[in-house]
Amino acid sequence: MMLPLPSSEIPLLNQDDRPCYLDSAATTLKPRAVIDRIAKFYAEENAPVHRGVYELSQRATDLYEQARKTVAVFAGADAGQLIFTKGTTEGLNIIARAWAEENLKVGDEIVVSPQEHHSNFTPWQEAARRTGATIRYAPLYPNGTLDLPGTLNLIGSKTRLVAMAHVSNVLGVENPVGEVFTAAKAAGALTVLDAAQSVPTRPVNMEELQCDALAFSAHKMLGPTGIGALVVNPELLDQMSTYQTGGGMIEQVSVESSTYLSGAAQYDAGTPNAAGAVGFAAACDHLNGVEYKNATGMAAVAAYELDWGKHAVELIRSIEGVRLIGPPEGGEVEGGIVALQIDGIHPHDLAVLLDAQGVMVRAGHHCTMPLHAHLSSGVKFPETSLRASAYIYNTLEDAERLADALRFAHKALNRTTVV
Amino acid sequence: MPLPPRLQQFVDESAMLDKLTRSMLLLDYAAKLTDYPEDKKDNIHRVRGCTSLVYLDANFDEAKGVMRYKGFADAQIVKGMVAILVNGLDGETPETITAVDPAFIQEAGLGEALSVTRQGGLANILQRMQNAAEAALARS
Ligand SMILES: Cc1ncc(COP(=O)(O)O)c(C=O)c1O
Repeated sequence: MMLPLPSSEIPLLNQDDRPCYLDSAATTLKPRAVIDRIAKFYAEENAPVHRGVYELSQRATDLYEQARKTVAVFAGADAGQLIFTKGTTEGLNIIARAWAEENLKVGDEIVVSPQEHHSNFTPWQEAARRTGATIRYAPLYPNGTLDLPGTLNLIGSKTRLVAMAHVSNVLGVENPVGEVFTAAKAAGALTVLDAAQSVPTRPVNMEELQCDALAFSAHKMLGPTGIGALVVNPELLDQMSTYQTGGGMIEQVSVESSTYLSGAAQYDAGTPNAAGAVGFAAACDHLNGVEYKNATGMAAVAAYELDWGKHAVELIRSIEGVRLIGPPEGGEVEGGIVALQIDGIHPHDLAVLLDAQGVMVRAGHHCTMPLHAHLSSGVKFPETSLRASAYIYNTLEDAERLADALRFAHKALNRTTVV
Repeated sequence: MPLPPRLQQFVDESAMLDKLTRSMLLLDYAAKLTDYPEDKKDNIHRVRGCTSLVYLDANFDEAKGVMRYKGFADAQIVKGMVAILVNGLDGETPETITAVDPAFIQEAGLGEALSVTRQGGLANILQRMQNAAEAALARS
């Protein structure tokens, strides 16, 4: 299917007054194919997974395990490495609990940067608090991007874990994870990639990036909420302890003691989210099938997002008074995320006035309070910004609607602002 | 119990408007809310749970038996909402104010514009105003 996906494929967009949905970095809309696939599971295939001998249950189990394979291959990994989670946040917390809290001690160091989403920040703060390990914060340049030499300087013999976002959910740019993780691996540290914004928007190959664990969410890539993936390399999987225990992950349970399954199966405690997994796989299939300018699959998604971002940024740059923070000052457009501030105007006001014009964007700190604090000097509303983020169903016209709505909102607010 | 007249008047007007016109009306209200004292922009007067910075100063005028309110917000849309509450409830008796049913927020079409955070801001601000009125009732 050619990009952009037509409105007829996305029920929420398929209205007379097509909404201009630009909050896809938070969560994407769902295509009919994914919605139908989930409905089909419940209507025709629903049964407990890993628990029944009857055919319906075995078929549901097969579908679940097939979904695990589809999603794993999508991330360049094997099915045996893939743990289904609730989403990126849970994936990162599993590493923090089942590895970091079991293995770190006083004197050990975790390296993480203030650019991170809170989901890739607070789990490490918690792990440090519980184990006595120290967090070393990687330095950022004034525009929020990672200071690579400064970061490499922090990595040494005490470093046990380095966690980093592949793509920032505010700046929209890729971090130099390859370099950072190569240094981390050389120092013997574990490397954890927050791929929440990258797996949905570009081809990602776990091995190339030198990461031991990678987490992402289905709902940011056309899939359902409540399911995500944590892909773990086999050596790390061996070193991880149990996370949650209970039904479905046991080997033997008695009143004296219990033993558990090994590998990814150990992380399937409780009745798994089979419908979610099946929907997740359908989303991967859908993404694999898209085309744009001679490219297919995720290469097509990346190319489309880049073109959309370039168009939007060009339009927004022409609006007086706008300070772009994503793409960062002096940086290039790398995808479909545009974050901005207008001095003296509260992003909340802009978002309300955009919504009133049918344009949905996000105002706030986007779960990156440390980054916003870093970007704040000299700005009137330092803790917040406005973020518009596109996905493969947004048209170039949506970018134009965004710019027009922003221009109108700016004018309306300037008229009344008496601060 | 009916709403105080100025609040009712706003609800009637706002309920008929489309989102954009309502937002513009809020901006007009915001522009009129000008006299919040600088020395009361502190933690005691801050209303938490809003995406923007909101201050509220509530006093009971014992001689007249009415509540007096002043408010401020750094975001203009929020300030417009504060203005509606201040304009609608200032000078009313504590009995009238404590009887205000927050359902008017939805009726006026203001529910959606403020629910950016988990804590619905406008209901929060109203609650603070009602708490002050209740305290005045308890004292008098
Ligand atoms: C960079 C980044 N990391 C982590 C997350 C958390 O993802 P989720 O809320 O799906 O767990 C998000 C999205 O909210 C994100 O953008």
